[in-house]
Amino acid sequence: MLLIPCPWCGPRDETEFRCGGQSHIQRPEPYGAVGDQAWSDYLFTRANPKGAGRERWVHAFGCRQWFNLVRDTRTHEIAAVYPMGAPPAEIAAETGR
Amino acid sequence: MADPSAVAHAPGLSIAESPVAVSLLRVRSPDTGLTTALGDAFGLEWPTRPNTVGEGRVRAAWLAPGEWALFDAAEVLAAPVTAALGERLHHLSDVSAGRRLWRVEGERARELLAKGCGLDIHPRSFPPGSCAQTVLAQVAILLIAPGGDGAFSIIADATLAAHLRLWFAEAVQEFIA
Amino acid sequence: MSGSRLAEGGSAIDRSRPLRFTFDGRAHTGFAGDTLASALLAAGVSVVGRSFKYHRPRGLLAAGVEEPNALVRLEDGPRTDVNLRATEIELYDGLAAAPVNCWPSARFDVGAINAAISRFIPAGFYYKTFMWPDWRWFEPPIRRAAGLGRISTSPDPDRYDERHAHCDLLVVGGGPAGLAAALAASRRGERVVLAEQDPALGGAALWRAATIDGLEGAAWVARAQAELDAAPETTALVRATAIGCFDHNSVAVLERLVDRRDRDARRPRLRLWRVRARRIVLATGAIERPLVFPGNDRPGVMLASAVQQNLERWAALAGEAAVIFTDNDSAYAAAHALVGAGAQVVALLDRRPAPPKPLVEAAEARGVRVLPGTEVTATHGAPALSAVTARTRDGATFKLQADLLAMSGGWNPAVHLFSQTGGALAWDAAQALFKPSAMVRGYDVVGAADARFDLGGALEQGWRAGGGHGAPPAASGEARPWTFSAIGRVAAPGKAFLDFQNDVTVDDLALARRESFVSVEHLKRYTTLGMAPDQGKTSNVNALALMAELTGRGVAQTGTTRFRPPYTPAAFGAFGGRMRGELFRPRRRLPAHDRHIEAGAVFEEYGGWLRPACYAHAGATPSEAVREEALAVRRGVGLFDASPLGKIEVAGPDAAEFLDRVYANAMSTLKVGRARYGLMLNELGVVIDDGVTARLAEDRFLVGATGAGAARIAAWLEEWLQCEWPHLDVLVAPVTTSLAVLTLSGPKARAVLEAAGVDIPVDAAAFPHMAFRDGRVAGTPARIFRVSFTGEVSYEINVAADRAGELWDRLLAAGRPHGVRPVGIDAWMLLRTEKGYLHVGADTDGGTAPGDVGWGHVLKRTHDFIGRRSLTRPANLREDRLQFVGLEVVGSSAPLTIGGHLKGAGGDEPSDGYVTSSGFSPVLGRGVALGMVRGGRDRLGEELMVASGPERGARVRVTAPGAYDPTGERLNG
Repeated sequence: MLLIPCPWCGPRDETEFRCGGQSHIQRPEPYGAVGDQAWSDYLFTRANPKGAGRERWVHAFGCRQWFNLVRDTRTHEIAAVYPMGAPPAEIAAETGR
Repeated sequence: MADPSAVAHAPGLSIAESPVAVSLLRVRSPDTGLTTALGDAFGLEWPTRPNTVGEGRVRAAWLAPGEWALFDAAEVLAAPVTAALGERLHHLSDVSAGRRLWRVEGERARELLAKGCGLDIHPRSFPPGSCAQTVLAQVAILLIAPGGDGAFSIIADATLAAHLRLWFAEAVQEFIA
Repeated sequence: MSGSRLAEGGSAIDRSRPLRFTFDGRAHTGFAGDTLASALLAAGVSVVGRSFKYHRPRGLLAAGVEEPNALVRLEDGPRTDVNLRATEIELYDGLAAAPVNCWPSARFDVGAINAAISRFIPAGFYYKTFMWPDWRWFEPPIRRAAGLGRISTSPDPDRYDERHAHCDLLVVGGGPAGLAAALAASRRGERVVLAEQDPALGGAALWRAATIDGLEGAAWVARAQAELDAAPETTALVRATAIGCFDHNSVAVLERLVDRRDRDARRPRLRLWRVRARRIVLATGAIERPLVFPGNDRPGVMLASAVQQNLERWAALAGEAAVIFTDNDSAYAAAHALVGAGAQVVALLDRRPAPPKPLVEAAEARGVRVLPGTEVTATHGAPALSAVTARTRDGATFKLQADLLAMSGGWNPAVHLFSQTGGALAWDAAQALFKPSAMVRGYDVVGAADARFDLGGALEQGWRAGGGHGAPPAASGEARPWTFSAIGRVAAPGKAFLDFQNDVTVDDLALARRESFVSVEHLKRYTTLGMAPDQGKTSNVNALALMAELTGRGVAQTGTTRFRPPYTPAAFGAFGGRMRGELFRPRRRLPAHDRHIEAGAVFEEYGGWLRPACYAHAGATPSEAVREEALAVRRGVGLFDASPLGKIEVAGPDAAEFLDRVYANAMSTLKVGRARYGLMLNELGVVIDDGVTARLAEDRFLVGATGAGAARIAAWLEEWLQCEWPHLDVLVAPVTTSLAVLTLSGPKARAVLEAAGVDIPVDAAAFPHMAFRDGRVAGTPARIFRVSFTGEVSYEINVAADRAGELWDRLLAAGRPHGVRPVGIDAWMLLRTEKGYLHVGADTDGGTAPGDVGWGHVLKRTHDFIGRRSLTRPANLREDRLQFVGLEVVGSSAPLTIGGHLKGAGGDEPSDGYVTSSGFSPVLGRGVALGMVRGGRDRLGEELMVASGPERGARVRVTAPGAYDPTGERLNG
């Protein structure tokens, strides 16, 4: 079970959290000017990296705050945690593992 | 408040359940001036650090940024809160009717809670003055570390009280033998 | 083999406490402290089971968790446990066990016929033979014949405990290296958990000669244990197996708490520790390898270390006349132990042409004949060993009479847990073993698990890993470290077993090689090598070495499979813990739960709540009760507990703007004091919830959600506020469970409300439909909503949750003269089906857009809202989408079955829609139904055929939703 460092509550078991998927996805607006392809990309196209990726999680059974984290999908190593609204965290160069 | 009723007993352990007077205070983007005003209004150092409790004329537990549980009825709290916050957007809701309180005390209290709660509640990690929203027996709870009274306080939704009561009764069996 | 108990010795047994037990139907005795295995060995039982595939007689091979042969069933009845290893079962008085894979007994087993035809069932036999015409024809009988043991089908009477633990250091393994680590950390005041799978701490120090810090091994262990037990922050567990290492330093440890008879029913049988540790030291030791030679599975052939352990710990002598067969140093100690126990050591066969001289000399000094360069090519005896055939380097063969063959093919570090963490293993050619290479963060591997086979080195490694300062515990008087040679099999005809548990032989591997299953993962699955409870503890490395030899690749290139949890089998009950029966999952209870019980409620679970489905009473079946309740609402008045309805306060200057974005319809135009029905969509444009929202003040709303959606919608609002629109000045406060909602519904609802006492005017003019008022009902502060789920005049009375019971009583009392009836969910759903009101989640699914349920007008809004852009995707604009309609059965009054498919006369689609809601309407005297029909709104009046389910062939007519009071005039009364 992952141990996720909530930026407010500190490390807690994964079961207290919910993953909201890839973070930093821009919602296209205004709706009248958004083409079908752009909207479809917003809804469905995801990076799905093998390695470090930025995700948004919520501490559902704790402070109910959303935050961003950088997680390596191969090792589950969590490299960074940062608030919603902050610019995307730098991702360290591929380790080539 | 009505008398607490015993949920379960075992050597080194007592668990009692009671109603609880509790209101939730929510504030948009709290700043130091605001929390100082709240602290002054209730005579305590306002808990601005996550997962801590302040004690004064009211007991206040940090729940989230800009959100606290205040252990009293909203009708008692409303005047001082409004005086402290003025026009600042806030929301005070009395949730007493929807919550229950359990007090778990005794030398085996930690051991008992560890059967259903994944939080590290050793005094080194969860000292007096700490609180945490976490999970006990699959139920979302607010857990408050033992202070001078030596008891863990657990606040959970009243609609799930029957589940927790049953869980406590089951979890103490090992200690009764 | 003729095992016996020595007259003296045995550090683990208490000879003053004899215990009776039965095995395979025969009575035996042992001593307290025995394992079932040691007691059987001492009782002279040589055949303890039959092999999985060929049903060959098998005896004990090992003395620990790696035992592959002695799988037993313990006890009968509901407490039956199967596939337990006899080496792990602590003896108790009255124990009854039997082997799992034989019938009628291990001594005479009908399944042994498989041995006679064994050359016809090689690896892959089932895959190749039962392909035509279809594996599924053959699967059931094969499955019945396969498998080990039979479980009980009765409920498990035992309790299972779960325990979370957090520590600075978790030490897995209580041998010298693990103890050194635990002592070091404990002395620093750290929080330490030590988990040892054996009933005693000490590991190899319990049976190998050792002197530590000047103390004899056992004495040092006792002193260490006393120190750990006294340390307040240290927990030293025995009978506790670390069965799995998981992410971020979490480890599952399974503790065995009580044996079967000597128990208090309150005490749990197993405790699953979920440990989270800052650092983890794996001191898991090593497992001895068998040698691979024909007949190596005959009862009487044992691992040398098992022979030695049985002597030292349980005074169980495995045989009178022993041959020792080894390719390394470690088995020489077994020879000394056997001589010391008074057994005859016929010869020690060492495959190495030149074994280390000091070892040979020391053995010969005790009268043991050492034959270098000699190997066993066959074993003899039925069912157990009576002789072995040996072959010298020059090819001469000779026979030795022996009832015990103690073998050693070297040692494998127990790297299973390390491998589970993702740790990489490297082949150490010099020692012929796999050992940890790159370390995993937070983990240390010490002692024999890291291929340190010298005691001093292991102690120092453990001590350092535990953070010890100063000098580590020191070993003295130790014999030279063991050396191992390369692995090699004996080339001779006959079945030579690699995996004893799964009956995989050298020939099977050769076959797999010929058929190109050379990748270790393919090899494992094709031959079943290393699968099942055993997980290859004794077999893996031998098999990999052989595959390397067959393919000419070398062991390092051949690689190894990733080990998987659990390390040893674990009972399912342990993972369930307390989560069974009523505690399986929390279910919310209504604030007036006890009043519903009094009223005869039949409870069902809806969206996580236990709610009355209906109220039973004498003289009515449940479906009659539902009809009576529904009729009461149509003709008189009903009282319904609607407390689960989601109630979320949304406050702030931007509250109206926020709700305009989260609802498909506008909320900013709502007047204070009024309420409006709304639909929420997700970003795909799919309806996710509905409810009535009230405007409490200019900057304050009460959002209503469905009962099942209450928590989900509160989280949904928070997500959008925090992640997408943080600049909106809004607070969200869910208050669902602080309020109870009791609803009076029916033509007499107003009369009952007035009779109960209400301090505000409730007539239609002063208090119209879709308005709310604050007042007092029966003296209790209340907020009353005039909204309706039934189509009748309704008052939803919101009060503090702890006043619900009292209000329920008052309303029932006031309503008695009007014939008020408590109404359950079933009748409530029937009433809204009669009215054609949408039920999100019942009539809608994960593809339903607002236009499909008659809400196409939301696209006229100029405001953006969640999901809006999706509504103009081409797929959403199609005219043949499934649309919400009413359904009327032609020529029958019977209700339709929900889920039944509908089909029109033309079109290529296999289905034109389906029934989503249905019931028998007592007020109309016929069935009423709602459904989703392709292009349904343009098909009003068309007849469709039911294409599936019990009413298949019945004709239904498409109508507008709402069979009862379609103009809705009753609502405004």
